[in-house]
Amino acid sequence: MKFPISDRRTMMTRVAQATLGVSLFPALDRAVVAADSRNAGKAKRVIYLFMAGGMTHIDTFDVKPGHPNQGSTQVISTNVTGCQLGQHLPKLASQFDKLAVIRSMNTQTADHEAGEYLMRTSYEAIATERHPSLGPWIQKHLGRQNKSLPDTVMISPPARHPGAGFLDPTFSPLPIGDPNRGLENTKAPEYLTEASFETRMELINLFDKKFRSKFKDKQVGAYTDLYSEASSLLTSGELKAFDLKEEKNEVRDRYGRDPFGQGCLLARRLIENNVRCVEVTCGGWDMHSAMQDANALPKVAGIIDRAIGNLLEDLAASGLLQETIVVLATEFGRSPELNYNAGRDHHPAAFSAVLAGGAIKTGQFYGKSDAAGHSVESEGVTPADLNATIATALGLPLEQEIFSPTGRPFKVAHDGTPIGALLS
Amino acid sequence: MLRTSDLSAAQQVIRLLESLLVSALLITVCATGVHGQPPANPGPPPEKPEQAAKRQELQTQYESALAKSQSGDWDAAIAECDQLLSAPERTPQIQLVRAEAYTLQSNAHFQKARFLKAIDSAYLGTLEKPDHVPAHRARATAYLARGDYDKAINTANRMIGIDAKDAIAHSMRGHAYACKGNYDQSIADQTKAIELNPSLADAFQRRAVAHLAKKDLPKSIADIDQALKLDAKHVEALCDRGFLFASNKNYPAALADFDAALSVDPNHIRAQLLKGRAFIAQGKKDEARTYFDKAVEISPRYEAYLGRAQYLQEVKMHAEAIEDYTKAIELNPKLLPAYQGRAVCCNKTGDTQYDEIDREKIKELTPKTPEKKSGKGKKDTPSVDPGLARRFVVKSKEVDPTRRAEVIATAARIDELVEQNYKKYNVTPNPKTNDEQFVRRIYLDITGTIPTLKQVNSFLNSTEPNKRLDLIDSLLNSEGYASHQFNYWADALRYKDDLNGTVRGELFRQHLKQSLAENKPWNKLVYELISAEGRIWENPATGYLQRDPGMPLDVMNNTLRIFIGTRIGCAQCHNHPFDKWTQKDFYHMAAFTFGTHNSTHGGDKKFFASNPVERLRKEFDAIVQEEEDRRNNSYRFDRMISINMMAVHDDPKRAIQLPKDYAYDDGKPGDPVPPKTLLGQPVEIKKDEPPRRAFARWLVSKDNPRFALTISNRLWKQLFGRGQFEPIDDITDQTVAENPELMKFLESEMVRLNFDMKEYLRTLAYSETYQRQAHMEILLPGQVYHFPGPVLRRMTAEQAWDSFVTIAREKDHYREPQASLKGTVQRFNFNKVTAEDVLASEPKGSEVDRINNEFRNKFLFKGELIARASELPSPVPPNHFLRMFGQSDRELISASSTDGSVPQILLMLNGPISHMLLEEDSTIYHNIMRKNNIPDGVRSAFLTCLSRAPDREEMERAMQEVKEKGAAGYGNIVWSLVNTREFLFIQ
Repeated sequence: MKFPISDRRTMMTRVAQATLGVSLFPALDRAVVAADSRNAGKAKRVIYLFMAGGMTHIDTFDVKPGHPNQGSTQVISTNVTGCQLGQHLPKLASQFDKLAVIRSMNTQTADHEAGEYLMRTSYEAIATERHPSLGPWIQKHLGRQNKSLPDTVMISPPARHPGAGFLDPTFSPLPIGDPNRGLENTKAPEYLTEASFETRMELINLFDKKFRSKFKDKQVGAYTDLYSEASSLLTSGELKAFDLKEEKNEVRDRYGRDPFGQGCLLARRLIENNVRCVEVTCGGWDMHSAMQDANALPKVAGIIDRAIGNLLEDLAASGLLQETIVVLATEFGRSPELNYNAGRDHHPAAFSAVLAGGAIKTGQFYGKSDAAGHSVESEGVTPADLNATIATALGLPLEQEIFSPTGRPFKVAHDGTPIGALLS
Repeated sequence: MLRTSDLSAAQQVIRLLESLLVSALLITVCATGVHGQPPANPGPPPEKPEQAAKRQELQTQYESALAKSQSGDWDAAIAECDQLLSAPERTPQIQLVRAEAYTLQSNAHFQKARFLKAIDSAYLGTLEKPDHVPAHRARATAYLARGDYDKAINTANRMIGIDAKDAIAHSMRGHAYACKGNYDQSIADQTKAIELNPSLADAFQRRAVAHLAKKDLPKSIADIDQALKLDAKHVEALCDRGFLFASNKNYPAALADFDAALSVDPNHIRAQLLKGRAFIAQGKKDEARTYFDKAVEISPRYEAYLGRAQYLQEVKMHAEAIEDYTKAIELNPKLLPAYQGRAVCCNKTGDTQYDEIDREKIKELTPKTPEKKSGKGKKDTPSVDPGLARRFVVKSKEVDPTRRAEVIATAARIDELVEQNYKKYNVTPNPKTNDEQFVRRIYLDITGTIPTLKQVNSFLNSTEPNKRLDLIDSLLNSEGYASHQFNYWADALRYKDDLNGTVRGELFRQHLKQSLAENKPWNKLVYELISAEGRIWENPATGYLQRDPGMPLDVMNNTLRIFIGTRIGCAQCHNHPFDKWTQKDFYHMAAFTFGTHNSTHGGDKKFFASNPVERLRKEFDAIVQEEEDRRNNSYRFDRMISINMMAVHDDPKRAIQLPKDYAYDDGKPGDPVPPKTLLGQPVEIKKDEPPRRAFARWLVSKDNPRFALTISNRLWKQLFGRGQFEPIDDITDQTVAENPELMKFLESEMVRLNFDMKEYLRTLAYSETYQRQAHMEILLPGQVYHFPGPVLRRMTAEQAWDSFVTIAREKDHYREPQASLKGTVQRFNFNKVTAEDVLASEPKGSEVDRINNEFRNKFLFKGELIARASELPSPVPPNHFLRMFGQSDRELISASSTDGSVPQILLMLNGPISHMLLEEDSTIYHNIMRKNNIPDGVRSAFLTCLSRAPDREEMERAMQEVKEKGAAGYGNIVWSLVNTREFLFIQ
């Protein structure tokens, strides 16, 4: 379809100006594909677990028993008849009924950074724009949920996380570098007693009196508010949400005393305290050599099995799993053929992702890779489709366009299509 | 049995011993059986019938190979294994067979003295089964034989990691330590091995050697006896005992032992050599020769050549000795005694060809005594810190003092134009700043930090009538100017130290800083960025284009936005919805730089007559190295080549085409689009020039209607907090400045000054408008601001950080190292470079990094690097003060923010930076404690933090605090002062 230049431009300008902030072209076709709207928005929270480095699909969630590509990873049965996983995921296998495993993820990029960006934002990275990640999108669409704690917390995030993207910096996720240390700078130094904290607050106000009465600036006022917000946070009980020492030692051991295990435990605590979106990153998946070495696949897979297995168990026991969506994602899979260093290389043509939670139809595999684990055979899922599915479960408006400061329109899951078969 | 009493002349023995010890140690290699053992892992999954059959077939083949090796037909065994290993099947069971086959190959290569191959085969075995202990053991054995003791230790550690109770691994590790001269560690390891396996004869024998080396004869003898008791045919132990007999001149007994050893293993080199030595000791030098020749004949190993060389030296056949020493060195380049022996022989014959290498190697290989436990503290303290000489420091160009009158006149014209709008819009201008307000603001605006106490006092106390103008000039001349401007432009240009994953950005950042410091005219500076060609170290300005390789459309988009405030991004995919640009306009613009590439490659005829990468690859393949090293080095090798291939250049023939989905009727998808400027004058592309250069010329031209406009408005905003028009980088035909006449004047000034940024900023700062107090009321959105004074601003992240640094430590900051240091070792000329040079350039680069880091670490305080923001990495990690205060992560243009957040406040309240101020060696601590009385101390605290004296109420309250709590009271005061809004906002 071609418009004469002037007509199309005029129309676009008119429409855009009239409806600034909303969709330029409401695409009705999507509504047909999208899941039944009654089921949308079942989930209230998200735990997004990112397997950084590229999780090998063939050794974890997409096993190929009997095929030479399987290598020396064994295959185990799960609690769902006919469904098998790799040998290093026994705990998840025993809870397969809580999982929906997508085996037909695929992208075009074998670059870590580009792949991570695409998974987190549904958009390709460009030099002129930065797209928001999931948490800030939720906050943009549904408003802030938690008064004193931030809505999105990232545990051990990578340096190049897209964060709030082009959205206002107030949407930025709060980064927690080390889950064991929790929220930084909340402990007063030892020499500071509570009385002297109060003295100091009093001194600030005295020294600042003239300045504040002279400058009625909005930003000055915002800072004054933030000081009181910070002081009340320090004295409130909410900080405990960030403190893993509040958990029993047995519990901490159960999740594993590694950063990802403790990160998952912290994620559970934060979700219990009404934080809406928690992202935990697990590194170590970039296994180019000797992946059967005790420090490679067996260790890393063991870490996620223990951490996620316990997380799902605890969330199920407390009932929170019903309204939480748990996502396991990665930037790409790993080549089904072992390379000459007994490792596997980057492989975006087919890989796996996992969903869990009340809004998800679990206990199933969705999509298929071919017999060699090489390409997608059926029901291919792109990162945008995955994100559209998650967004639907959270009740986000897929079609609503949000304009970046440069005036370009963007959507929460780009052009992704939610997968009805995965939504309960 | 050997008794201590047999050794009556112990002293004499030891002397003799020392001369022989080295060879004794070197020759004692481990020949422990390396044959497979069943894995301890839980059973693998059941095999399918066809898999089991295949495995059975391979197993049979393996057994046949094993039989060949047992009959001494090593090469046949290797060939058989090769065949077995060529089978493509892989199951856990088959991989175990493969690991064993590799191990067998390793053992066979070992027997043929092909140690490197033995190491590689064992390594491949461990790739099949990472926990296959026999393969690791074979590898460690080969390392020991090759004299690579550190790697032998690493491999032994790996085995101990697999099984902490592996007695053999401990014994092998201990032996490697002994070979390195660390006898105590050796004895400890052997003792541990014996504890784990009391019948391990090897461990006793090796401990005996270590005891011997420590001159502890009784213990040595006891261990030899024990070894032989456990294994009467232990060849090494027999040799040791024979050696001790010989030392005691009991030659018949010695020879009996050596013969016994040779009857067990006729090819045992050490036994042959020792037997030869025994004959020398008896004075039968001619007879001895047979055994040394025999040793070389049995196995052409370095031990054999060394043994014979030492014999030849002793019988004064120096020329032949030199030959054998040289041969031994060829086989083992780390053989210290060979270098030592050769040096002596060369001295005798007057041969000088090895002088230099021998001297160097002896120096390099002689163990350092006394041996320290850790590697630290070895170095002498140099008189001058080498780090200081490595710092990068800009050279600033000063403003012209003779132009002051002219600048004053221009500033007056600006004031006049501003005041016209005051009248027109009925605006009351703000009162003039007092000196306290002015000194703080001008330091922050020009140098990016608050002034020090001394700077505040010197300004406040000065009675010079022109002190403000003098200060403005001196700050523009200072290094702080470039630091502050760099922060601003790093944000706009999205500068990253890791420019694009391959090219490092430090040379570019230093180029930018220097360009700013030397006040390079803005048009020239920008022209350089856009037109630069070559590799980063040939032309650091290429860093601008290296930021976004392979994104020509985005680069054009960004370039126009940053330098001429024009956004055409929307027109990349369709006609711009809010501006006049069409998609075709975009493509016309992009056509200028579409042919620009960020890298070249070996086959590029423009750069290389013949492909240097192919040549280097061949050279690399010819380098003798372990397979594991080859694989690791291969990656580093390619990377160093890639780095050196990153050259910005143009392919003028590469034309841009309209995209596949082009939807307008003024062109078809795939139509080539010629370069054409979208505004201003058209530009002529000269013959033989890449279109990019024409674009650069057009961009920075005085005729470009938006170039001078953009920079004059940007710098106006730097000082006044708000542009004459906003946003500063989104100019459209509808853009109207707050004061169009003023804007026109500012633009014309920029052109008249030939884009001299310092003179321009100097003019603005001289104006009364700038020197008025900041705006005090809330500005409503959309409200036009007529500049009754500058706008109140929160400090930028960099200003806040730098101000803290000024209070905490006003001098001796860390400065970034010269980037050229690393460039020098990493760059190479493809026409001359060898593969070895390429490989060596990487560790050389790491060495530069290491020295830089060492220097850097001296400036760490509680984990924080004390340095101006412009000296810190870019971007800093997300939890750094700078990022918490809104410094950009350098992904988007001018993405910094001055908003507050709760984590930011928490950092102010409890973070390390506030506590840094309260340390005893901080600047503010000195400023306060130098004072003799409390009022002066309080005054110092206020002047240091807020650049002003306290008023009476503040003074009284502060004095009370100090009187009550002493130093802690001062702590509370300082902490509170930096937590005020007055501290964080620029008025």
